[in-house]
Amino acid sequence: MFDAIVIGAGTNGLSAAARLARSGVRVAVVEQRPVVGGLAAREEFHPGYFTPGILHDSSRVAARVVEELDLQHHGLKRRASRLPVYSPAIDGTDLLLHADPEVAGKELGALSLAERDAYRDWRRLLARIAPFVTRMLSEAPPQLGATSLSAGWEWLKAGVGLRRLGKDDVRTLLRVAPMSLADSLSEWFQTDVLQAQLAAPALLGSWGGPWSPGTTLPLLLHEATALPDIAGGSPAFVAALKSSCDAEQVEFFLGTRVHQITLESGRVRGVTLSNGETLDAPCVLGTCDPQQLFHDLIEPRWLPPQLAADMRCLRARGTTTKVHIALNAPLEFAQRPGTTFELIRIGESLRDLERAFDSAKYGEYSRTPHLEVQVPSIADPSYAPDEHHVASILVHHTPFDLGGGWTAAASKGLGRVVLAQLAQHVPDLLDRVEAMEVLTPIDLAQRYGVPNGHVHHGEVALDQMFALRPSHHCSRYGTPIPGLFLGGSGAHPGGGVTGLPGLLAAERILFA
Amino acid sequence: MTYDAIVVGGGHNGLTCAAYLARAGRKVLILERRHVLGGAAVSEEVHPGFTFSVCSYVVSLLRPQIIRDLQLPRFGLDLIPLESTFTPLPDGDHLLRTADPEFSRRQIARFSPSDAEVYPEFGLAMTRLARFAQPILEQAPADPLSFDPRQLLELLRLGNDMRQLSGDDQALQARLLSMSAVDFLDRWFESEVLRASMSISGIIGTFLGVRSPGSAYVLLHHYMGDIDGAFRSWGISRGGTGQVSMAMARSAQHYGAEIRTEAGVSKIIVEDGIARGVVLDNDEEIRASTVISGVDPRRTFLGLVGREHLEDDFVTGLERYKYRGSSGKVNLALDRLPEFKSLPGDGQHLRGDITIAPGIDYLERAYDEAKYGAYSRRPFLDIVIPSLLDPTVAPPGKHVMSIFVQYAPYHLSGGAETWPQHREAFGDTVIDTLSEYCPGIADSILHRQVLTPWDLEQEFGLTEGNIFHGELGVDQLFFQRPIPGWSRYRSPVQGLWMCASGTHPGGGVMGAPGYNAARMILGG
Repeated sequence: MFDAIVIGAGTNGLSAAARLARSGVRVAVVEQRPVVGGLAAREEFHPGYFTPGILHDSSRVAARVVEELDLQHHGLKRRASRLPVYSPAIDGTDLLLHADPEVAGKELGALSLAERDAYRDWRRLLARIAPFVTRMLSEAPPQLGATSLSAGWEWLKAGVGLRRLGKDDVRTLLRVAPMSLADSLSEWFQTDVLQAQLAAPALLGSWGGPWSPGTTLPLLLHEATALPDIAGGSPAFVAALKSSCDAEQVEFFLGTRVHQITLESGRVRGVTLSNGETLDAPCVLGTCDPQQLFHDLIEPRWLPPQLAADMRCLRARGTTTKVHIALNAPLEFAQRPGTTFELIRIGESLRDLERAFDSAKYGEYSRTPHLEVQVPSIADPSYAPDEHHVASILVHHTPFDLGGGWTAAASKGLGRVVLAQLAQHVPDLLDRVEAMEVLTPIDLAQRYGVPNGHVHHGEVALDQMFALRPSHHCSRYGTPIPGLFLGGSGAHPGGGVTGLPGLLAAERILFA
Repeated sequence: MTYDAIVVGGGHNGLTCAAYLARAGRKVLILERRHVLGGAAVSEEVHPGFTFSVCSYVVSLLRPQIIRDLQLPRFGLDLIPLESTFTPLPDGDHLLRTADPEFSRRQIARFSPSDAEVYPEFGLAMTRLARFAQPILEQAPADPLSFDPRQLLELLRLGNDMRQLSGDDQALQARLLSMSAVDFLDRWFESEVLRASMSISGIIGTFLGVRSPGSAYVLLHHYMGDIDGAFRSWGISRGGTGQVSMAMARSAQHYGAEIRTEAGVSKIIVEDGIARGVVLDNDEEIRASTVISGVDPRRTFLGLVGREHLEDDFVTGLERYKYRGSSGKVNLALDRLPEFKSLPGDGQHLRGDITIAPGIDYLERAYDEAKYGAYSRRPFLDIVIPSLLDPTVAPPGKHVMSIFVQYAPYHLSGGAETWPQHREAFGDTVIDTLSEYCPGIADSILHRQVLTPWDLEQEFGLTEGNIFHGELGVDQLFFQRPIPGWSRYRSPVQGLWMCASGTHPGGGVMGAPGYNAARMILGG
């Protein structure tokens, strides 16, 4: 008998379990895979070579999660600053961009003084809105349709918080947030490669291109809340969370699936596992994706029709492929010989990114996809054998529903496209490749159970955020079914390695 | 000779505003550059015996209150409802939706029984939301950043109205403002044909694709059509859309307004930061204590006022304000009724809206071409044959066909100024597209008028050819239209007001901007 069962041991499942256990709740965590960490788990993809998780960006691990779960005492360390991003372009220009505008100024100044000043203004704007945005993302969103005074208070608080940013910044935010990335970024920047590099993070997990309206808000949220990366990357966050769980005697059931959530007179009673075992608890928190939770794990008769309809309409069209490359030498770029970079973005202009999205729209993968490359083995040699390296690559705009399907040939073809794309800037790349793993959206879906291979459990779009994520019927982690809670990436504040949805869901269970 | 108010531009919003001011006893002068009134709501005999609604071709959003207040029927307004929406398909099939619910249900059921069941429900949901939105159209939008107690009160009232909606409707409202038309329709419907046919309301006049977030709002914008209290009915005006403007003009004159055509304004006189009157193209100077611009924001401020009278922030705002015209118009004089392959002969299907929108990918590809600066090789067409409903616009047995074409991006990759070289090829593309559904059409054309976005700008003064005086994006609506902080028809130049589609609630033959502006000017 447990007090709570958490489904899924990804970063949200772990943060939820740790938070609950720290308040004395007896917690069981059920994970279908044999390892914890979900999309942030470190895995050996070739003997001696490890991935830094599917989602290798650890810059958004939330300060609140670290604090509430006391993760420093479980070995979590942040690096001194955010990783600078290197972007080469075919025409010979290239850019190494630091988040700190003073450091970035030197590189940008060489490009143009106007760009340097614009970047400083951009970063200052982000810094000014950061406290407000961080707060919005570290709290449960206000509720739609609630008429209670406390619900009204939540909305008022959000409004006042926004207003306190000052007239100029609020004007800018309200105007820019619903715009396309291309429209907003071109108000600051003129250089193609700079625009593309800044825009790209917002496109991960969105079903849109830089010319799609509404793509600016995700960028603002991402950039305003990003902090220095975690030393050791996303897997180090997983390790700290696991250690925090272990310290509180959280019980793990690994390598077994939840077959069904059992209900008794409409209330949660526990779960049955795929091995036939049953676990009893009055409270179940699903950190798997909402569609799986409500469609596969609950008998349809318990689901209110409005919520069922919302879940049917939740958009989660995966467009991300993950490529891991084992290298026998560092990644060296033609334009900067002798230097190595931990974070690289390949994508020359917003127009290129838009064309890549065009392909995805019609069920094709782009021949010149955007690549986000991390080389975790530079800072942490344990990722690869001595002198060897790992390139962890997120490939945008490779649609789940590829025309003709993701056959072995299609997946191989995409692998070649990625290598060719990278080899344009790393001349002897092909000689350095020891092994390669290509995880298409289908592979991600099969291996990690994410819907249609969508790494965020649901697209990042204005109508699937805040009070509407994943539906206004369960945006505050509780669901219409007593005892059932939702706390994965499909809940506010959404996907990425933050630990927040899990933490907030746990708080909801504890304090609501 | 001085006036209380001069209205620059005799479009339907300028006329509405002028009529209300005159009705309130102000001495008003309306100045129109062209020889005809109406701006883009204009009828002209372009070919002998054939009257074209040259630009705007349907009337639906015209506020009933304006019709009543200005007694427009008395001054010649006669609206005829369009009865159906006909979507012919390339495979010889078609979808026909009419005002008869049972007929539409059977038609839709041929493509999806479940869609047929849901269709009326969707209409009800949209009507509910449109009814909620209507009062918002009829008042100056309050600025949430203002400290003006009156505006704060209006916001509180809006918040309270919002609170009365159920959670589901609030969610729907939020989704409408942010989703794409296709995603929004996906929540109800499954059939490609129906979704494509319905999604086009979300893109008309905008530089958005049916899959672009934000297009769902435009869908609602077009759902607020209201003729004689019957929601979601579209209509045409007897004698062409210009008759709407003419009725407004007659009403304005009836209340004492003075109208001059072929009186282009070259400059708004600003002295010490205050608007004092205008200078005409012939250098004539006319003074007034209030000047009201019925032309779009950029043309008003950067063209007629001059940036030397404006603060840098405001000029930046004007420069950022997005136009990006995306549509063209082809008007045909036909010597016989067109014959559609998928539904030959005369019939109800020709008496409504005919849309060439055979699929979502078709529409999306048309948009993709425009994104990169080319007009669509297979564009979306919205066609009306007004002569079937209104015999006054064509000789007996002959017909007028109005074809709205999208996408025709103002910014061609070779530059907007290259449009004249492409005009006829563009017209050919439209006829070729139509011929695939209506094979004999090319032989029945007596006269063809092709209007590119460049022409809309040059001839009708629509900046960048945008028929709505600026994109209907969420970042340019409500309190942010046209420029954040200047949404209440007032401008930074004292005594100068805005009253056209570049202000809240935007474009369409609606009259609401003119009405709202007049109320603000009258201190109401």
